[in-house]
Amino acid sequence: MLVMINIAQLWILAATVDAALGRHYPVLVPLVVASGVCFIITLSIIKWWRPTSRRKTSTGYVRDPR
Amino acid sequence: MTKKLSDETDVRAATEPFQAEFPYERDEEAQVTRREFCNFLGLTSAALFAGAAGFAAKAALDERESVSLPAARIDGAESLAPNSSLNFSYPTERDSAILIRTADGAYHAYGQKCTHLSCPVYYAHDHQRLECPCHEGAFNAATGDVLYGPPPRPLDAIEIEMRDGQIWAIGRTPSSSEVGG
Repeated sequence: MLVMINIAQLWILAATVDAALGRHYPVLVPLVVASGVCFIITLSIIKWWRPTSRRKTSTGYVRDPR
Repeated sequence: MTKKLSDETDVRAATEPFQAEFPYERDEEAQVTRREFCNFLGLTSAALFAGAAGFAAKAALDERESVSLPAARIDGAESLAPNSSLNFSYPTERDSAILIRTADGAYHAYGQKCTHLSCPVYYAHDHQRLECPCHEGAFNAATGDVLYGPPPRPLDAIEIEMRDGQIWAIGRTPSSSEVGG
């Protein structure tokens, strides 16, 4: 998922460069916002995602015994 | 004494017999943990976002920046015959431009770089339009708009003025409108 978001951001960056060089200024803000949303999603995944095999306890996430 | 691999936090210490027999160096295999890889992707995401924001900010600054160019006389423009063109440089010697006198006698001037890949355009007087020889793009001689071909936007317009019977270039306006937009 994170790799896919990175690829999407790479595509957005390419579009931003293209728009900046082509002087299509109105599309720049939506492109930057889209990149920012991708970044926030990435941060959210890194901060809150845990494997389903983990169990949350008062001291953190622990792996269930097999 | 061997230690069993429990989870990724302990991956560097994996020394099970089957792992020892497997033909990969366990240390090299365990150089990047899942958490480290996620952090790397997070940093990459931040860098891509910063890059996009930086390019947009630079473009916004460039748009606000207005540069006043010095006026320059275009030598030989007065004697230009209708339906013909004249090459000149403006605002610097490195910025080639083309002055066109259309069949109705009106003057128009444009930057000579095609907006596709910067090939020099020329005036095709048979068709009364500006053509790019590289990828067969064409521009309207009176407006600079794209007629057909791959160019994404019109030619840069050069503002001209008649002073005492002479043609002067007084400014250059980068085109910004998209084809069909």
